Amino acid sequence: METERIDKIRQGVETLAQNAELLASNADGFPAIMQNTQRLKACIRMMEMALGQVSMTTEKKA
Amino acid sequence: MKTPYWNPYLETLDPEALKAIQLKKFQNMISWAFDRSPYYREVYQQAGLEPGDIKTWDDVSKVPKMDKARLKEGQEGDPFPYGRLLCQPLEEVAEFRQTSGTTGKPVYQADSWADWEWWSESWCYILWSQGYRATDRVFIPFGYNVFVAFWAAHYAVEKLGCEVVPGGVLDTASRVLKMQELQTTAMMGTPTYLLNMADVARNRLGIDPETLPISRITCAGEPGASIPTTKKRLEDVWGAKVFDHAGATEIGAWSYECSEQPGGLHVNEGLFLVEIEDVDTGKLITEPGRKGKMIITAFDRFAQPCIRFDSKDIIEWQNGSCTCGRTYRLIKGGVQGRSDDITKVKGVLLSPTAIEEVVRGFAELSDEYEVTVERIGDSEKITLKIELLPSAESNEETILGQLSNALRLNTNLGYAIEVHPLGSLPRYEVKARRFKDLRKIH
Repeated sequence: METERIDKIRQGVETLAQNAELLASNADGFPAIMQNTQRLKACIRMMEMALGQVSMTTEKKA
Repeated sequence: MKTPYWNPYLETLDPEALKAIQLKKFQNMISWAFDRSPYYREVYQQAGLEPGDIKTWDDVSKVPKMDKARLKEGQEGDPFPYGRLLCQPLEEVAEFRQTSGTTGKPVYQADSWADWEWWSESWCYILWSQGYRATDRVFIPFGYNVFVAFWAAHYAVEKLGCEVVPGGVLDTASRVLKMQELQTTAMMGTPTYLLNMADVARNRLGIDPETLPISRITCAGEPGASIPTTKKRLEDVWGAKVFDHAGATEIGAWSYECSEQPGGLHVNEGLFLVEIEDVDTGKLITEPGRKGKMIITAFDRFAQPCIRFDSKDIIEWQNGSCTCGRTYRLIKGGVQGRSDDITKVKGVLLSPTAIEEVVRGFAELSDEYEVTVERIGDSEKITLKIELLPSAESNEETILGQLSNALRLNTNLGYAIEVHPLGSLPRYEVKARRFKDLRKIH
């Protein structure tokens, strides 16, 4: 695949990961957001993996 | 989507670029386990290993291997039941599964939610490469329980956008009837169970399995789908393409046969590092054509990692690349057996899969057989128990002669062949134990 396209995908995933971390850091005491964010972060980790990256996302339960 | 690849980036990546990713991920996994698992840290410290020591590929083999015994040892202590192997807090564990425990106490497997996603993701590579698409209605004849088996396949089927039909607690006849009722297009199972299922369909229900619209089948749990004669039996009886894959509870789904069916399985090298080790010398085998046992690392499984795990699976690299375009390497003929099962009889190395390949090549024989090895005085005797189909009974002598010759040719050993009445040998629901080495008992 073209490097340029991969780079764009990578940027998109990075933005998603940052947003997910932001959501998680504000979701204490809000299980419906926290738990769904955890699932979202697991999906983001799969995308990082698909791009051959070492995952930077962390897990935390409500 | 028209692409034949679930991951058009990793699956076609230049091998050198892939190796660079693998090394980076391996280093990350070592640091992760060292920092978070008291057991891994203890094992590595005893070996004088710090995470920073893994700088090049030559350093990989310095990392101590794990095996089932070590995993069990690591599970002693707290937190129950995963012990010191666990790399994340217990409250982050989302799924429990366990090994079958056929060789003693089972290994408990902890997976976080991300690990569980990883399981289904790894299965997506398998199913996509075998042609599963959103139009498929997939039947999973599996007793959803503490064994991982087809759980991840279930969620991968969903992720691909197919429709999944869970076969759950239905008995075999009910499963066949449900498949007929819903006109399911694909299914999964162990080769043993799928042959048994076809037998039930034909002989108990009067349904020819070939008339069902199953077009593809994915096998797991046994080497059968990579043994050409067993694969042919399955394909003939179901009128479907039969694909193999290999995986394990402690490892993950690490390899798959693509739709080109190149005579081997692709190692999912974006997610796993497979090393092959000479059973006698312990040296790594990098060239095709030499069998050894697999040492495997999962790069992205975090709660309870799998790092340089000695799986005891016997594999060998296949020469050449696949016409599918994947750059992932192939292992020839799939998993060819287990180092535990390959044994010396009369001084000759004997692999149970070699016997299966011969027996399943005889259309006059039923799907079942059993092999026993015993010591009688100073000599060793191999007995092969078979069942003749009724149509072949009048030709018994000729068939037994041909079978004996084929076995000798394929395994360099002589066998005492016993013919048993049709339906009298044990039938297995999941994994079969057809090879019995009685020398280890007496």
